[in-house]
Amino acid sequence: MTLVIILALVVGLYLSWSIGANDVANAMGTSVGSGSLTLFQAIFLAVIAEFAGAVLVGSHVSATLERGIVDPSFFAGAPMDLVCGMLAAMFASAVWVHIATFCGQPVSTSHSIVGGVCGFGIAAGARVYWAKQGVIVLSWVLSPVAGGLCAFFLFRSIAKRILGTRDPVASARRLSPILASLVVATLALSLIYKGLKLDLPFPYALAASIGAGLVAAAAAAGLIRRYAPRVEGAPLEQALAYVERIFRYLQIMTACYVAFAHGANDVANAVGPMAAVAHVYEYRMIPEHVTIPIWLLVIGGFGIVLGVVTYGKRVIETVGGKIMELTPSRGFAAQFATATTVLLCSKLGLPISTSHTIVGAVIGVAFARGIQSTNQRVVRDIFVCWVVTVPVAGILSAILYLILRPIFV
Amino acid sequence: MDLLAKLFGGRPFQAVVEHTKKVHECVAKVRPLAEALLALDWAAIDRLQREVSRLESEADRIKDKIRVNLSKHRLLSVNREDLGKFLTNTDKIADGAENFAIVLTLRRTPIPEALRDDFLAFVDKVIETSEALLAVGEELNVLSEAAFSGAEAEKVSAGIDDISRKEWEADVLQQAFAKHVFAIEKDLDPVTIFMFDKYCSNLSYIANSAENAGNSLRNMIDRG
Repeated sequence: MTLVIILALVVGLYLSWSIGANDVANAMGTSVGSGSLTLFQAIFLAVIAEFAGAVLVGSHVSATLERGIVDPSFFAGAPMDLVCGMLAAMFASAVWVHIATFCGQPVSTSHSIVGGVCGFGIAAGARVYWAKQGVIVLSWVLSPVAGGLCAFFLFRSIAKRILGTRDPVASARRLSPILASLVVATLALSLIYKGLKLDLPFPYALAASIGAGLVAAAAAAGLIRRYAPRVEGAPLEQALAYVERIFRYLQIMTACYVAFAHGANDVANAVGPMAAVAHVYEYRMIPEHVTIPIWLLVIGGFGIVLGVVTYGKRVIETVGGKIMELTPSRGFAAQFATATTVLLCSKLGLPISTSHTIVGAVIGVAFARGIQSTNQRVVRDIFVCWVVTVPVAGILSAILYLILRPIFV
Repeated sequence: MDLLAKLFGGRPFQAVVEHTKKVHECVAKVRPLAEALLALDWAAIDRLQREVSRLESEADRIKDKIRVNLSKHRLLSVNREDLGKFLTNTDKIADGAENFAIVLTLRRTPIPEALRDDFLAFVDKVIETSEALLAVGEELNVLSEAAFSGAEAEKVSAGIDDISRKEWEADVLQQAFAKHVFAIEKDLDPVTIFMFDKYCSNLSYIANSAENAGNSLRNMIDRG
């Protein structure tokens, strides 16, 4: 292994570390905050789910990232330029995400890698596909809106069918198996249909997912019958508190689901450029299509997990302590909406931000009257970050490119 | 990432419930005040008046804190105006209780033996009206847990109907008291009648404000 490959691995690992550190609180913070999980349990589940998501469903976004942003044919005669550029882009976004995480500022790793690739492209004088950029920008706006709408309708139906009924406990006992099966079926569908690459036709994949959902429903119904006592004639206030206890388990499921979706979506940010660097360096040519080998996904997943354990722990602690408002029923709605939106977008090859989607989803729950008071200034912060992240990562990447190129070329 | 933590604007309804409780503490002093008046215990009236004024200013402080926290950049799960009106009206309840106490200290105007039962019946009904408001006001947090829907909303709505009914009953009792006053007006000097009117107007102000607060709460449930 030569210096370039080692460098690519180290930078890629650094990038995936910062991704793990940055975003894991989105998945687990709410569960720790509502007391559904202890910190240790949350870390444990996050590690498993992030890693599984990264390795099993991870490889879909990469093609969009490295190839759709700048014109690769520009580098046909000078593949090492592209190698330097990718390294610069990775390093720039890792540094930016790290700084932002340190300052407690919300940024998106996806945005920052797009900005990084763009930055060295401009510095090298390559053509940048602005139309493609438009599509990517649109997906940033769409993802929180989609997450928000999804969460709005999900919470509205929870409010109507469970929280607002005369006997919320009975309703929750009856309906939570259905919610559990929904989570498991969606998760199974994303796993079977695309993730495991079994080449199953869609109807079979769908049937298998529904089967998995039914098994989950039966298991949930059994568990509820066994462990959740009937509460009859209790005052509404106590009944609602009891319903939240049932929702805890659903919230834990969706928390793992978010971590899984995050791993699936974001590992490509780190691993995609890494794969491109390795490929270009090895074959001295610009590939038509880079297939990401599984060992690279494992490395990316490992980096994310490392970030979760070393840095994300602290972030979960701070965030989790502050968001008592997001009770399990609200957390479930917001997280389920987020994970589904993120998985869907990652299937469509759109790089989206988990943080921004979950904020959109929480605001969706707020619009459904689920949260007493939300701070709309955060929405403004998100827009600021959209605007700031791409140019900052871009400029940083351009500077790094201009430094690296004379060294390696 | 502090992003999620920053997104939440606290639990303003908890403070609103505290305010409603504090307001009712003021009203709870009305019964001892009336008893002191009947017992001609002017020292007790002075002491109770000071207590009511202290409670009223405590309620004011809670209210001011809530108002600061309800700044425009927060998205609330209820209509901001309705919540504001609810606070204004509960605030008026405390004002009514305080003014009743103050009026008692201005001039020593005892209630004649013949009017006592009617007067106490009216006083008790006014306090009941405020109690009925407290009962629904305390539900605000639970209402929010249930996302202002379904059974909990119906329960609170029924409680609001109860406030209106009690306010109407208080009106009837006030009229009965007034009729009784004028029936024996030959035995009373005009300033005494004037003072009785003062007593009554402050007491009915409490009941009316409780009813209005209930209606604001109904609007909070109905329009998100």
